[in-house]
Amino acid sequence: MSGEVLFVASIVVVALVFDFFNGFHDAANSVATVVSTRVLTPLQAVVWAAFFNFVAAFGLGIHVANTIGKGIVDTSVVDERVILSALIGAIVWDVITWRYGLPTSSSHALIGGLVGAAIAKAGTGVIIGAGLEKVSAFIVISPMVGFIAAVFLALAVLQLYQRAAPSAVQGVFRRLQLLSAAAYSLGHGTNDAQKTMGIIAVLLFTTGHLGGEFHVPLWVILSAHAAIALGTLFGGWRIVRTMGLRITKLEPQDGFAAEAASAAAILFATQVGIPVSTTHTISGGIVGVGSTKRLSAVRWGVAVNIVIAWILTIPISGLIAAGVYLIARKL
Amino acid sequence: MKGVLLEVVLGTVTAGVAALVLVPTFVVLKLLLDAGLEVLFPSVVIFGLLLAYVLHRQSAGR
Repeated sequence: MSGEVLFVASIVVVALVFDFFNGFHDAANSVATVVSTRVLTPLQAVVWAAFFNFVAAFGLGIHVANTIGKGIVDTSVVDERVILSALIGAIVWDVITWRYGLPTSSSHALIGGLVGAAIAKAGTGVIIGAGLEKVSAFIVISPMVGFIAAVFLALAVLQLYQRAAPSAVQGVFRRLQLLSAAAYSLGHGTNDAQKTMGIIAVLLFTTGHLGGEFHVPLWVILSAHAAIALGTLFGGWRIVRTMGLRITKLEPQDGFAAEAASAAAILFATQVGIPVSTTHTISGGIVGVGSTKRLSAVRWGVAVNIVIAWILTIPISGLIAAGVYLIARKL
Repeated sequence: MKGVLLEVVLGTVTAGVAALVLVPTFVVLKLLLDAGLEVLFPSVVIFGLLLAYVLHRQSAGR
């Protein structure tokens, strides 16, 4: 195996590790509500979420992978160093925000990293403005849509079960939560794994390992979904065990409304090829459900810090990736 | 047995209601997206903020 092929293969491994940690980090979003409402045990919930993360590989398209691969930066400037710098930029920003407990998006960090490294290599002319504009707009739109859809759904549920006995409501929503958690995991799996697929595919394409036309090979699709599913399996288990001590009180109907609304928002974005943050979207959904009860319950100080971190994700991960690229170019 | 059957019926009705709420929401979103980001972005943000304001007013009045 030549040195060049080995270098490309090792970057593919780094991308899959990034994907694994995406699942590891985001697993709690998928399983927290079903565990806190005692619908499933932590182990069952994690297996359930990981299964749907993987199943998402089939039949949901690769529109997001195409956007990441050829819709953000001009593929002619992408090479091994650009992709590696993008991944390092994203990982460093993820570690920084994880250290400070801010739920930022790994996906946006990856996009920021790609943009930063590409600009460091060839200037701002290589950025595809329309693609970056759409992704940036959806940083605000996706949590807002999660919020709006969750409010509508929570109000509809409230009306429907106004006179029902609480025990009947609990019984129905315990079952429905299995469906909403599955739908959310499906959305999480497809939108997030496709970002890694896009990065790997563009790397293979620009290094001449993909033939003349950009496409996402089946092995890339399956390995990206397997990586995110494994991340969910390991991460979810660890996080849920921790949460067992300080679990948030959630009613099953709240979990259902937040998850179903967020899942719909994520699946919608996936179908129109827009990479969104699944964390941002479910955050919007949870705030939406909470707002139908008491808006003052939202801790706005914390929320403002989170939003600032969301806005800073693309520029800062981009700056880190640009710095990494400038160093890597000299090696 | 009767209890389980009732839960299944209620669950199906609820899933139907969820579809009735979510499908039109996302049809509108797709139409706005087709109209362009310059239409979608302000529409979603303004509507979301208005909704939050209305909910805030209602919860303050409770």
